[in-house]
Amino acid sequence: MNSVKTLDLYLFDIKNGFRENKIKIVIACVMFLFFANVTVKQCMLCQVEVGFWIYWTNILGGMPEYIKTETSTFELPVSWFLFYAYLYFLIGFYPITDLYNNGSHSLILSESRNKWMLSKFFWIVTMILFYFIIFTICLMINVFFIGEKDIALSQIITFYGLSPCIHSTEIIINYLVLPIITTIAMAVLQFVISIIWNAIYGYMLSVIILVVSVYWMKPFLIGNYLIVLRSGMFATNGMISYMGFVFDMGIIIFMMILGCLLFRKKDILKIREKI
Amino acid sequence: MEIVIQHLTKTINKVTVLEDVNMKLCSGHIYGFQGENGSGKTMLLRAISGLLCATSGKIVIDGQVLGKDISFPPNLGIMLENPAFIDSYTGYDNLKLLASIRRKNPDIKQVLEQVGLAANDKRKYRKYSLGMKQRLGIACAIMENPDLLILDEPFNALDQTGQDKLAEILLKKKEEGCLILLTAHDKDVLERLSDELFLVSKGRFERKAKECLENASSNQ
Repeated sequence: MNSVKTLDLYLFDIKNGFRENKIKIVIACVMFLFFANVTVKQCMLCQVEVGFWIYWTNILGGMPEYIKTETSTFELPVSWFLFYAYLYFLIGFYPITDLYNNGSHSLILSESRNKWMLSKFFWIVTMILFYFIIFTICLMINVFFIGEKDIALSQIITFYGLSPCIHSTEIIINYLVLPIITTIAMAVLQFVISIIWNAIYGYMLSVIILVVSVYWMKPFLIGNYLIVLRSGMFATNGMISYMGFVFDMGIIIFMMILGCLLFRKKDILKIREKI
Repeated sequence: MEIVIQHLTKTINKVTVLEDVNMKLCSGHIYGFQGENGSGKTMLLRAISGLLCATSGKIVIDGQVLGKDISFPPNLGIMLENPAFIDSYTGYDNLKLLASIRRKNPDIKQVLEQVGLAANDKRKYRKYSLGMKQRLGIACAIMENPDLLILDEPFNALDQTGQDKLAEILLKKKEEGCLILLTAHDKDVLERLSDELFLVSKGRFERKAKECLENASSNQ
């Protein structure tokens, strides 16, 4: 018998998932171009000599720890919040659409519930990487045409007055690797809640984690690992990156195992019966 | 293929939708299920297709327990209630995309023509009439020459030509050794096509006497 390979299922998800989300992806590009354009122009107006990574920090850096005082007001870092909230909106609904709206065809053809889950996991990872890539491209377009074309990582150390001992690997980990892995961990959490419970609840949980993480700087609130300005590189009592990896990997592995176990016993009824 | 259903019971929200179902189904036969709306026909088909998990009892397919040894029956073709496809794709593109999962390269054009759809029709699925959607659902179910074919109300929305074509397809598939499970509102069609007929009421399944079926066939 010709057994279905997870790779074939993954390729199906790539084709189908991109088709399903093409309008959302276009909106994401417009949003990135807008943020990048505003950031680059603001820096130009301030007449500060900056470069690619400073623009990046302005958009995705988030905010330092919020300390509640009598005079302080809590404000979400808008571009950071929209970037991640929109990402979870982008990836949160395709698995459910595929499971219920399109007649459960791919699930039955997959011949295995675990393969279906695994394929969706790889699709989520691909979409997250793709999202970061299109953000980078949109920012680069703005930098190339109107901004400072400096892309050296050392600009971060100079501009923010960080310790010169900081190695470029540490910068890459805090700017790219940790946020991407944390994004995947939160996306897996959202995915499992979506298929077992409800897609709206899954998305709401992601947004709540983002908001609560901005308010409280705690190691177990994993949204903090998405905030570059709270990393150990920027703050002496900042987030420890290896703890972030441990939390993230723990969540990914635990949620995938839990998801597979619960999904094995899940009744697939019609979407109208489901919601 | 042999499917053995042993003491299958399913309860959803404290309502028993399948109650102690026992039956043995073999290749090369058409099994019909007749009953009122909500009697449990679709629930049984969902359970056999692996979409519904049993509260108690089991379904054994060729010696493998469904939901334990296997998630879904191997080489299954299925159409449950209203077929659902991608709105912005043509019928051909929808089937091509789904066929890419198993890489069996079925002759999609031939399958579409077999159910009475034009293979080169450029209309999107959302522009299809109810009957065309139904035909596409049937085409999807049969395109990979399944060993087990599950069709829930496949005659709905089909005109007389469509119904005749479908009956012809089902009899041909049966001759090829396919195990076919079928529900229909039209009692005559079901009696004419089925080798064995089950009457369904409140989740209970009762085998209809074979003589009744033979009488029904000879009267046609």
